Formats: sequence, structure tokens, C-alpha cells
Amino acid sequence: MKQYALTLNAQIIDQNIDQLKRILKEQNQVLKTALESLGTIHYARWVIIDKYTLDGEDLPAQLVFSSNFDGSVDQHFQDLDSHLGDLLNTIYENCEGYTPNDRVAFLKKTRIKEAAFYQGSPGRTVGQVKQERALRDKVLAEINGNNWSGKSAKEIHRSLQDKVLNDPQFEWAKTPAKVPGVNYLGLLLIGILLLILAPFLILWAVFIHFFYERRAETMTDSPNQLNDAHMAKMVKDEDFFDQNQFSQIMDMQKGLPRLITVNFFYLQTRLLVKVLFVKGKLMGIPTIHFARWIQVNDKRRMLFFSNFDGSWTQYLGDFIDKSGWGLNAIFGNTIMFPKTYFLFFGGAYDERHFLAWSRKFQISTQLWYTVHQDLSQSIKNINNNTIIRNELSKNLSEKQAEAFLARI
Amino acid sequence: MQTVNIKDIQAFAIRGYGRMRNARYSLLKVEDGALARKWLAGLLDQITDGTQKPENNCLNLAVTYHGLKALGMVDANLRNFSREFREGMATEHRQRLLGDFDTSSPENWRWGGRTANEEHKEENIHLLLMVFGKDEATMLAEYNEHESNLASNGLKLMKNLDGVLLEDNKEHFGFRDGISQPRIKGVGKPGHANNTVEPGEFLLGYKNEYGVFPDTPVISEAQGDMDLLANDDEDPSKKNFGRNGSYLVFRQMEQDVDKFWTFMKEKTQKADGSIDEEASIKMAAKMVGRWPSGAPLAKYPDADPGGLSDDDDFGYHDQDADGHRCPYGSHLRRNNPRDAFEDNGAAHSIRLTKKHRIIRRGRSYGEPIVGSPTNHSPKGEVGLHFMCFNADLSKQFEFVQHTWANFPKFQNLYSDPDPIIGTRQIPREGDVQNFTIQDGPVNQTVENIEQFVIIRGGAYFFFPSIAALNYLTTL
Repeated sequence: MKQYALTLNAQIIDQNIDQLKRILKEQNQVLKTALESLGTIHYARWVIIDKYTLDGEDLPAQLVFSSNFDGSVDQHFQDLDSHLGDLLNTIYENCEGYTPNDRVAFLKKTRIKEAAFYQGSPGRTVGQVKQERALRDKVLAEINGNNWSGKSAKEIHRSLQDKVLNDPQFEWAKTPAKVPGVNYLGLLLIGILLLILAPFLILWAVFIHFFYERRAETMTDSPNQLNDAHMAKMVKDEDFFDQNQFSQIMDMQKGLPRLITVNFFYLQTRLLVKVLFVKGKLMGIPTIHFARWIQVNDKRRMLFFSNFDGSWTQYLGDFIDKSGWGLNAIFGNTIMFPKTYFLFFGGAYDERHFLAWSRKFQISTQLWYTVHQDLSQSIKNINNNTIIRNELSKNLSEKQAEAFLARI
Repeated sequence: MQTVNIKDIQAFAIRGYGRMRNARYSLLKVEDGALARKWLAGLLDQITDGTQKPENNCLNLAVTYHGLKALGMVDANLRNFSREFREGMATEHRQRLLGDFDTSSPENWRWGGRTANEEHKEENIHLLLMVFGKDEATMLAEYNEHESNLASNGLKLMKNLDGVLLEDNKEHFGFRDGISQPRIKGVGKPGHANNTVEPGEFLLGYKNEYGVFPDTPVISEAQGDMDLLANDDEDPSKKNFGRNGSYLVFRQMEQDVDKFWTFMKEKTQKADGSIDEEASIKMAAKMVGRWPSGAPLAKYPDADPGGLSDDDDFGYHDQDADGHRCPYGSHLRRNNPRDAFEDNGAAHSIRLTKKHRIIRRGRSYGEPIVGSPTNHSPKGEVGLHFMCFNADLSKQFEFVQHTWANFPKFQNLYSDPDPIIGTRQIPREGDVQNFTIQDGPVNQTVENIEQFVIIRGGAYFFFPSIAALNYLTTL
């Protein structure tokens, strides 16, 4: 079964903004419990984008909902409607054009498309993640509960097969799960396309550099200089367990060439997350469960959401160390990004200003739901659990069995 | 290569004072800023700088955010210090990040804590006077002279914490400690390239491993004698108070030696219930990453070669990629993964880990004991006065404590915090705390590891340069 991203964006009635914030705060636990009850949601959040003035135009406050779920979008709308019920009214009564008699129709109307969407364990449903965690725990318990002295890895593997797969509770594990592999043909085609485009891309990068990058206003604040109240608001929600979330909104740099650039790299991202980044790493970063980029306010602003393992410092540090160039290509098209050179260079590699930039444009997430508050599986754990499941039912050589046991 | 101005650095940042066996750390409160500045002016020529190698005594001084304020630094200038330093170690968020829960909670700290208690609260810790001596008598003689000057100079002694280097530099659990230290490029004898780090990782005013200057407190609102400070390299219109200074982390860690060795013995006892001394030492060594002698498991996986070892010339990438020698979750390996950080290549790993190094300056406290399976009942409380230097509290100390020590998902692990400094007294609901010993054909799981180290106090200090100390006297 596939995982999808849903993003809803509704305009908040001007005088109801504070009330909506209060509701999301007071009903936080109730809403999380309701989201949990769907049984298909990995992550979800409600984020309020405050009123904002862009180019002299007053933009109304917006309520963005996002979810990462299993199954079809239509079913997901129905599930949200039936499981959240009146809670949806409580929230969306504060939004323009809400139709309490037909909640689903309203929600559908507010749907916007993601510019790009990444998932760290494609194909794994909430149910599967839970099952495979239980399986791994069971295998671990069997290993710890028995004396294996004198046994070969192959014998141990076979014995685990007998013990675990004959347990009716783990009947399902006899069938291997489908996991996507790297699509080398697709990768080759993208490579060829990029080779053909290379001369244009180089010219484009030079053009952007001289006409845009050199003139852009860039981040000169360091982390010390960030607003204290803003930072206090951000960190008060962080590090309660082993995962965190990140919501960020930025204005795009002016000009059609910037829009063309960012759209080109969104397209690249959409292609690469399908053919290359399918094994739990996004450009080398091994901690992201789901992430998405969304264009809002007529593509004049960029919204970025992610769900990740570990702390903010760890996550942003990984970004710089492993994929600074990739960040530059996309985020470099937003205002105040640290100075980039020819699209890929500079930018995020200016560690101090990049960290300050990331925090400066971070916004509060009014409600964050993760199935992992209790399930507590890192993206590495989830992917490892699937491999354990798939290898358990196989016939393995001694060497393969050794590798299998090393995973547990 | 960047030239480091050793003469302007307080020596403790670049040397551990191995010959100074005894130290007294006095936590002081500034009750009268003007008197305290005068006292500091009189102290300056006794402060040990990086070029001096005294035989008998060393003296250094560090200051907290509240201390700078009490000495008269104005808000606009205080604001230029890092957020971590300004907020202090005891905030609610930092408590989660550093894992200081239950008995270790800042609400229970004896000093530096988040509490209304005047004796224990963070706001009343201003200065850290560090008096070192080659032996206890020499240290005390020197200390007594300083103590007699405090009250008359507007300073209140809040607490004294003594630190000693134990015999063979072993900490109380019985392991040789403080072996691996990063070398600062341009300071002292050149070390191994893998272990030699840009000065900006430890000293402000120099470029770090990213090739940029770390955040530094500049003086944005003129006060005091501005000519005493050098111009900031990035913004020459401002004076750089931070240059040649460093951030100093101080945490008082109580060590439960009895619990530590009792746990090891219980987990390794033979089928008939008798103690397996050798196995208990091996399990403890697996958790630490070195044998009691200091010999690294990565080189000596089976038994302690004995004697004393300062062996720091090893990696994991080629010798121990599967963790069968030194477990991934061991204290040593996770707090400095060297050339085997996650699944990165050796050179890439080194580049990454160099951004998260700290210079450690721990000293033990309490009645000395060299813990072992047969000797684990200390007289009274024992522990470690942990200290470390770094240029960026968030990227270095806090990152190491959170992401490498506390985070149970480190490397490819599931439920494994650092068995020495990362376990919680009471695990989170539904959580388990394990230690995995990678082995063939199956890994061994040590279940329900306990908390052997309790945090009793702590604070973030700034460790100013000689010039900056001098500047403070002119505020």
C-alpha cells in the first residue's frame, strides 16, 4: 500500500485567529487521540501561518493541515470526517467558507498540492511498521532467551524461523514485504537528461549568479542575534522524545527566473525521490521520515515541513554536512538565504548564517501528531525491521545468516 | 595555518595541568561589582597564561552570564554571547536535551540549579576561581590566601568543589581516563592529522572546521577600556571580547561505584550464582570502550594487556567495523566515533566528527577509590567534576551529550543510551534501556541498564582571554 501526503490550506477568519490557536492548544490531546484512532496516520500537523504583508499586500492568516497516511486520499478524507467529526467543526468554524453540513467537500476544496514529497520508508503502512517492530522484538527475545553456543549462524537463523514463523501471530511474516529498490534505468534517464541540459544549466547558473545571487539580500545575522522570544517559542516544543518536527515558511526571491529555478529543482526532487532516495536517506541524511515542500500564496512563499529523528542541531548539521548543495538549489531561491554562488555553492555551507536562517524562518507547529511517540522507531529502525522480516523467511547461506543476525 | 596567540589564552584551555594533582574550584558570587573588579585587577598577574608552565601552582578564572552582569557588563553586550550561555544549563529545554531527569534534575542540583533556593540557584553562581597545586598542601596554601581576600572584595564564597587527579589518572569506576584529547592546530606539538582540529572549534576568534569564525561576543556598546580588546575579524568596527576565550562546561557527576560494579557482577554471574570477576570486568570494559588500564578494546578485544596505556592511535573503520571489539554503543565509541561515524567512509567520518569534539578537563572528587569487582564501596560520595572546553556549546558539548550519548537510536541502535552517561534513572513509560554487545553469531543484549552517574550541579562558564579579563576590570 502506498503512502500519500495530504495538505490542506484554509483561510482563517480574521477575528478568530486567537481563538483557533487556543482551541488547537486546549484540544491538543483530544485531537491527537482522534488522529491516532484512524490507524493510518504516520504524522500530521496543524500549522497557523500568521497574517503577513507581502509586497504591500495583506495576506490573511492561514491554517495548514498536513498528514502522511496510508491508502487512498478519498478514504483518508472519509476517515478524517468520521474519526474527527465534531472536532473538525470546532477547528474549521474559524475558517472562511466552512460548510459543517458537508465537511468532506470543504476539506477537499482546501486541498493544495505538494511541490515535492519525500518518504523515508516507502510502502510501509502504520500497521506494517507496528507489526515489523513486534517481529523484531520477538526475534530479539528469542535470541536472548536461548543458548546458541556451538550453533552456526545458519542453524540459528533456521531455528528462529521455526520459533517465530510458526507462531500464528507472525503468520504474515512468511510473506516478504515489497520494498522499492533504486531504479537504475530511471536514474540513467535522469542522468542523460541532465547531461543534455548541462550546457543550458551552466549558462543558467551564470545568469542567476550575475543577475540574482549577487544582488540578493542575504542572511548576515548569526545564531546569537536571533530573537529570544522566537527561540523560546521554538525550543519549548522540542526534544520531548526521540523525534522532532520542523515547519518553516519563506518568501520566494522575486523574478520569474527564480520561480523557474525552484520549479526545476522541485521536479528533480520529485524524480529522485522515486528512483534514488527510496532506502531511508534523503541526499545522505538518514533521519528523515517524511518531508514536503509546498508553494503557497500564488507560489510567492515556500512552506517546508519535515519529521525527523533526533534533535534540531543534529538534523540541521546533517543538512549542511551531507547535502548543502541540494539545499542551496531549492532554498537558495528564498529571501535572506545565506549567499549562494552559481546555485549550488556557498549558502548552507556558511554554517553559522545558515543555522540562523533556518531558525529565523521556522514557525510554531500548533499541533504535531506522530505515531512514533509510543512506537519509537527511527527511520533506520523501520527500514531495518523490514529487512529482518524479509530475510527471516528466506533460506540464507552462512554468510547471509551472519549478516541477518548482525541486524538484531 | 592560523597563528594562535598562546600568551593571551588562559592555560587551562590548552593544557590539562597533569602535574597539578589537586585543584579547588571556588564558586563565587559578586556582591559588589566595583570591589570585585578591583580584586580581579589585583589577580591578573597571577593568572596562568598559555606560555607559563609553573612548578607549584596555577590559577584560572571563568565567569557566568550572571557574573558578567554583576561585574558591570551592559545588556547590549551581554546579548552578544551565545544563547546557550545566556540561558544557562538549567533551562527546561536544555534539561531534556542533556537528559537531566529525576534525581539529576536541575531542580535538585546543589549549585547552578533551577530552584528558588539561594544556595543552589543558578543566578548566584558568578565566578569560578580555579586554584591548582602540585599537591594538596600547596594547593590549600595558595587557596587560603585567596579565600582571605574574598569577603573584603565584595565576593561571597558559595561553594568549594575539589578536584584531584587520581593515581594513574583513573576515575572512580577504575578506568584510566582523559586519554584522548583533540589537538588544537597550531598549539603545541603536532599530533595525528585525524586528531588535529582547527583552533576555532575551541577558541573564539579563529576559523573552525567549517572554515568560518564561530559566534563570538563582540562589544557593540562601548564601555570600559576598549583599547584592551582586539578588533573582530569579521566586523572590524567592533571589539571582540571573545577572542582567545572559550566556553567552559562544568558538571558535577556523582558516580555510584557500588551500583556500577554490583550490576556488572550480577549480569555476569555464573550459572551457580558465583561471581565471575573476569567476565564482569569485560562487560564494564565493553561499556566503557577501554580496559581499566586504558588500553582500547579496538586494539585489545579479549583481555586487558595490563600496565597503563595512553594508546590513542586507533580507529574503528578498518579494525572494528562490525563492533565486535568495541561495541557501537560503548561510551568511548559513541562520544568520539573517530573514523567510523554511521556508515560514512573513514575520511568523511573524521571530517564530521571533528566538528563535534570537546577538550575534556575532568577531575575526581571524594575519597579516592579505584573501583573493581572486589573493591566498590567508597567512603562517602565520589564522582567526577567534569569540565570541557568548546567554542560552540550547541554544536559540541550539547550535541555530544544529546545526539551521541543520550539518543538511543545512535548508529543503528534501537534502545541503547550511553551506558555510562546517557541512561535515565527512571526510563520513559514504555521504554527500555539496553546495551548491545555486537558479537558473532548473535549479539548480546544487556537488558535494563541502570543509571550509574547522577548530575549534582552544573553551569556554563565563559573562559575569557587574559586581555578580556583585563578588560573586565575596566567596566
